[in-house]
Amino acid sequence: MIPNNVSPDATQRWTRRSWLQHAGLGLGALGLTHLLSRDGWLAADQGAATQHPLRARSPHFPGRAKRVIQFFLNGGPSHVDTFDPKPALAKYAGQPLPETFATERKTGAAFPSPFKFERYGESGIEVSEIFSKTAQHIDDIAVIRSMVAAVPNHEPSLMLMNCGDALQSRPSLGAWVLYGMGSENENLPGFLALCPGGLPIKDSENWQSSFLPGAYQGTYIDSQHESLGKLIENIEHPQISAAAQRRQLDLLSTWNRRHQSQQVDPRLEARIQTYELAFRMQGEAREAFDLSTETAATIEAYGTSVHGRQTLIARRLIERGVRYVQLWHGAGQPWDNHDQIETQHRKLAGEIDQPIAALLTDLKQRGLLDETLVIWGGEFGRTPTVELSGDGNPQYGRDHNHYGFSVWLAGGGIKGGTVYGATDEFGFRAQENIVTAHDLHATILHTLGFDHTRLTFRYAGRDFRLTDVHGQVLHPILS
Amino acid sequence: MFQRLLLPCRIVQLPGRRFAENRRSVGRVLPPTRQLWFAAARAMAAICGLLVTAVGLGVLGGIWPVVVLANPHPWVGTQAQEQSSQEQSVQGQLAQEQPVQDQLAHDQGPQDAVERQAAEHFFESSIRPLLQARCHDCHGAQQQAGDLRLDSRAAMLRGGQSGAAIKPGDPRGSLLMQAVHRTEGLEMPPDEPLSAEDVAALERWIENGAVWSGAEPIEPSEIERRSAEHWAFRSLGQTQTDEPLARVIDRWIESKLQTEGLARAPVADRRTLLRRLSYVATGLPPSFSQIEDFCQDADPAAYERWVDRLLATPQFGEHWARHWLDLARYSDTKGYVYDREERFWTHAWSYRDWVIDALNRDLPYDQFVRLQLAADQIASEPQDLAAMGFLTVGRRFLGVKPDIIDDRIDVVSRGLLGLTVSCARCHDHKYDAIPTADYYSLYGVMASCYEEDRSLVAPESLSAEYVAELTKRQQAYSEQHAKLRDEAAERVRQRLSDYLAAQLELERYPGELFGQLFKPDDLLPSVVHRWADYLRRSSTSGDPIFSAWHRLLMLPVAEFSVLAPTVVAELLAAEPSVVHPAIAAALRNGQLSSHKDVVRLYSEVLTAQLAALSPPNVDAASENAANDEKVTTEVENEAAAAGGGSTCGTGAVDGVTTATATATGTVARDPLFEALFFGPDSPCVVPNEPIVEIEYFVDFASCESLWRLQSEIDRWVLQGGAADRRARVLVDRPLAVEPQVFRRGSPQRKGDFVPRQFLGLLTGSERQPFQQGSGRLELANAIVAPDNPLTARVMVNRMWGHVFGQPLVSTTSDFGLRAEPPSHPELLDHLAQEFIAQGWSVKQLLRQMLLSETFRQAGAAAIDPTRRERALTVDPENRSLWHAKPRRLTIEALRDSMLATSGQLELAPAGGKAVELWAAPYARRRSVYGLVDRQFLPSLLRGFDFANPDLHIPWRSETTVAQQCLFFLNHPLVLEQAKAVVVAASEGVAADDHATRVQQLFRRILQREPSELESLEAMELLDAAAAETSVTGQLDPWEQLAQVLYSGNEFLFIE
Repeated sequence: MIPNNVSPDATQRWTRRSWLQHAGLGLGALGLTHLLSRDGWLAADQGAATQHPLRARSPHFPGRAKRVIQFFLNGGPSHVDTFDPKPALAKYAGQPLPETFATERKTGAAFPSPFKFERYGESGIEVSEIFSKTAQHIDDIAVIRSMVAAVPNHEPSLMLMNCGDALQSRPSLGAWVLYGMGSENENLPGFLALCPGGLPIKDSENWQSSFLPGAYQGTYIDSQHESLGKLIENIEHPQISAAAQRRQLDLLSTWNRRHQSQQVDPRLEARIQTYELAFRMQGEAREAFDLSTETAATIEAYGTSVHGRQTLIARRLIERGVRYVQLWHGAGQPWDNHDQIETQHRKLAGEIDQPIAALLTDLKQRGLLDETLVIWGGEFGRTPTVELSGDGNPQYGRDHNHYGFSVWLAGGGIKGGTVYGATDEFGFRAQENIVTAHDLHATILHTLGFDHTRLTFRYAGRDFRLTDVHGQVLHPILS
Repeated sequence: MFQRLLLPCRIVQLPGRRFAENRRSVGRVLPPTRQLWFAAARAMAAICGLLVTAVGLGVLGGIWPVVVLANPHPWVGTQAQEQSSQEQSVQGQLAQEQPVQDQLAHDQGPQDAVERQAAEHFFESSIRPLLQARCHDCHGAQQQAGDLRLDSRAAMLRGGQSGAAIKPGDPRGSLLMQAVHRTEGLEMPPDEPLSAEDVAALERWIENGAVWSGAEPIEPSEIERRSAEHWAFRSLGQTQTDEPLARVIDRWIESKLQTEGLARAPVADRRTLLRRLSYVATGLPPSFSQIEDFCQDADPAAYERWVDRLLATPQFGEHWARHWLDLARYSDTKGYVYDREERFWTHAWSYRDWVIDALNRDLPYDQFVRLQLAADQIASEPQDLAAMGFLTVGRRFLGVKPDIIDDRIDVVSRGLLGLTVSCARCHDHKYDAIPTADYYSLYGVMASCYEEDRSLVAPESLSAEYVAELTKRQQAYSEQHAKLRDEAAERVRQRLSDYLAAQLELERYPGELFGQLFKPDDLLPSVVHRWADYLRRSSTSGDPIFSAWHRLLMLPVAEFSVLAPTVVAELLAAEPSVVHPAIAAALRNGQLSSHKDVVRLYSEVLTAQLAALSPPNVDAASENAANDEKVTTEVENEAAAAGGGSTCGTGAVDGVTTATATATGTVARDPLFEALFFGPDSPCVVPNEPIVEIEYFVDFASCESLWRLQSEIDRWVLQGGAADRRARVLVDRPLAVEPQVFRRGSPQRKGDFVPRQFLGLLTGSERQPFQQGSGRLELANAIVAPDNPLTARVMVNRMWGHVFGQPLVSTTSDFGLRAEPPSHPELLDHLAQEFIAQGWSVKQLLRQMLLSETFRQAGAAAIDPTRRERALTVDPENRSLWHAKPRRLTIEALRDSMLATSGQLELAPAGGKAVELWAAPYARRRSVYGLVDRQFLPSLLRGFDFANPDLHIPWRSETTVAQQCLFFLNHPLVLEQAKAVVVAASEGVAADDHATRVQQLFRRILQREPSELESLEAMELLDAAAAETSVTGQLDPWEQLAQVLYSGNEFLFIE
């Protein structure tokens, strides 16, 4: 006889205790594997990562940094105008350099930096006037002056810097970190990319999760907005009051529990818990993005511009356990100054110098700098030679330069007041201790407690890692 | 065969890259006509007593200079080392492979963990990069000079012809150290000694036990042995039973359950059963009344009738197509493109509709595959051309061809064969018998094709206005295309000397990824490399124009002036069929003292010949591109008629003496030079192909202008509605590419020539190079050949996975040696056999799966608790299928179910252009018709584990995150459905009849009656909600209740 149309509680009335027992029976025993990618996976906890993809997990070894704030100066900030002074350019001003290299466009004579450099801090590292406030913290900063990328074009270089591969679809650094460590606050997205006014070049590929589960991709926030509804999707509920929603969730929970008692499947429990999480998230997200509780002094320190706001939000987010926050400068590629670099770079740096300095001060005061890794850089640098227009006239800007450029790191696990590597006399090409994106990634993962060769995910028959087969940890910049 | 012949001889040891390049061409397998010719050359070489190394230069017959040095170091190969300034390939794809556990035993390494870690670090930082940079080219995956590999510890211990390369702990006793010290007669690396630091590092490494870290590949012999026994590679054979397949399925399932002491769960109740069946077959729920009918139907055949009925609905194809589109990395957009290019595909939705239609008409799977790979050659209906979207809906990868092709190889090999061939892009596959050579064999197939956009409908059926405008835009494009191609070609001809000179410093001309904004007067790197390819081919095709070029440039720079006169004398003594008289004349007059002189000599000869040919006979330059096909054909024919072209055999040579005047001063028209400058394979001519194929062969402004005109066409098509269905097909090029291995995956580092052919793993010793065009159709046929052990197994396993919720082989796109073994091997084989025997009918096979008792069993809750507990201990993952596990709806099925139950879903018309699904006003079509924009994929989709449209996704991951729940709580689409379902459920019910209204909501959303308790609880919510002051625009109590029902686990998980 076929039992017809049985409604769940017709056969048995489940008490709270009986469903707990019943559910308990299945939960411990049921393997959590086989839920993720059928293409295979490695670590035993990858299955658990599926059930609770954002649950905090221990890295390979205790890392000095627990979370990351990354300033991404998209477009390519000029290293010779910021953190890599090249007095030799003045000597050659207006003359061709002895050796130049092919870049995207034609460039001409040596073009000395229009900005003054000064020594800062006990370390006496030279920094350009346009980052004079950041420079006050130079003794907490390790400047890498010998970065290289592969080609002089934005798209592949953005991908290389963010995802470790110029062309293929690969998970971003933030996605790997989230996959490896989860987040300390499940009520907020674990990896956020803030960019005011729209998307950078390559769009959300910059924070993609690629073959990692979608839960690890960065959540984009258009930080030009102030209202929460425009910041996070589906976070507001104008069509229902909080009280009504709570009632809904209570009934939902009752029915879900009863339903669960009829099944043996850990996913049901996971989803029940996640509803509660989502409910809390509505409140917590609002609170995280609400700057009204900050003191006037703090707000003044960061500045009230969009960059001041988004930098302060970043601090609030990591304070609440968010793992990775990327702060993009703006839509498109603001730092791509092919012409009039003096005015443009001065303006752009002026927008973030104060927020960066304020963040470093603030983190330090709150005792957070030691366990927060702060990263500054773009996808490449710029040529020490002046860019020429179609008719061969100088544009007073610089072309892309992937042969050598600077990034800096500060905070968790970083030896401040350090300069690592060097470009040639003119800043065209990295010459000493060359650092690739893979090396940078390996180092970042190391500060977080990962052996970059062991943070892997099996996809398409291979164990992929962020650093592919490359990557050397830069021990000299670690404290 | 040639490679075999080569092995024993180690003779010529000339440093320098020219030499290395020619050496590499030796091992190439040649097309049959050339093989004949080569056989003759080989015979001659043998007679002259020359060693067969000369084969690559056999064109020169007996005039090969005998610079033969006995190699004093038998364990060392003869390969000259090539240095590249771009050592680190940006496209380096090889990922660190997982160590094979049993090979990790390090017999003499330090035991202490910390020490061990330090040792591994030292290896990774100092030794591995050194070995990779300086040794692996000749002693690695690609080549094993002297039978020696230096890419694993085991291989180093085993050593080569001279014995072990290292003795851990004993640097002095290690051959490797003797070689790098260059003191004991061994001198390695051959080109440049290692620095003192590197030597010291190696010494320290060996001293400390030669610790190796990370992955060690499986040894080739081990791979071979295991391949021979591997379950997935065994031939399938025939089935021996008349038993219905559904019964066979149950028997195999039963038998495994018995061995584990388990039993199948009882049959599921009818509601559960029909819901499960309906979702598996169509991705949609049945209606409450359908369930009622089914429950009432006492006919034992009722279930079977439902199976047939559902498989016959159009919704079947819509649902199963989505499974296929996951594999095909389907997207309606191209991914990131530059401004100039339209970012939407014009053909994607036609491909999606074709897949739906093919599944609905139960197109046999073998034909389904063939059409997707080669419809251009076999389609009987124009509509079937749409099938080729399988290859052409991938990402654009900024137009960088090696990556576009890699994506295609991946989708074909993993998608159809369950083999991870892309792993062999940079090195031999570490776990399967897939050498890099085989990857490039397939690469050659894809590289021999260009893509082309075509309309699938007759112009008559389109509006005259649409056609007129389209034609206008196409004409504008064609005219510009012809003009710019001509200009580009002319510029190359004007700069012959520069392009020839560039051949001496190829490393200065980067690959496609390195973007530069080229002006018309710049030398284009892609054209430089086109010349290099042409010259490389000419070295083996016996082209008399460039025979002297190759011979002379092969001479070492340092000894050039000493050796050149002998070589020139030999060249001058050669037949005109070997050395072109025009070249001979120049050689006779010129003084050569360096490589640059050779370039100068060729520049002069070529320039003079070009001048004699202007205007050319072959009027390719002035042909209008509107006759695209015709142009190509004409050029080809005329060149052939004139006996020209680099593809020529001996026939070409006869004409030479008569056609070229030997008198100095005047030069007659010469068909060989004509082909060089104007022929279809000429390195000067920009191929007559769409802009998408030639963007790197023209300057920046030309490229922009052509793309803008192409985009004008695309935009007109895109805004022109769904009437003009397009296909994007691959078409074989007139001359197929002879692929070369890219060493370590870098197109800048070309290695051996390989034939276009199928995988050796699946063909064994009977492998033959492909003969027809690109070989794409032959590839397709090889994939679906009934004796291919993989194709049917892979496909039935995918179907099984979607029917039963978990596949028999969990690594659904990897059936290689590292695949998970099947849970039911005999069953898998039986299903595959039946699939082929029943004419590759997808529907027949699904039908049998759906009819099985295994499919019809209940969930775990229906099992007696004691038995269940035992089963959970024995088989917690349900691999043996002792019960039916709940399955979570995909985001598409979830959305469709909400719309279906709220009465909003529109099933007709099917097909057509993609619609936006996630922004108001909400579309009502099925989700499969929703826009998939890979560049701006809604985060909602990724949040719900939608298949990443950039990658072949064999099985979706399944995660539970807060954003999913926020969707149910707050997304306007959910709220809209809640409102709609309340309206539908209230129809004809009295407003105060709350019990009936609750009942109606349950019936619609969950297709069942509410229990008394549930009714009561629902009423409580309604009352409480009603008590709250209502605000305009907010959900009313009924809508709030409906939302709860949509949010519940019972709605999302199908039992």
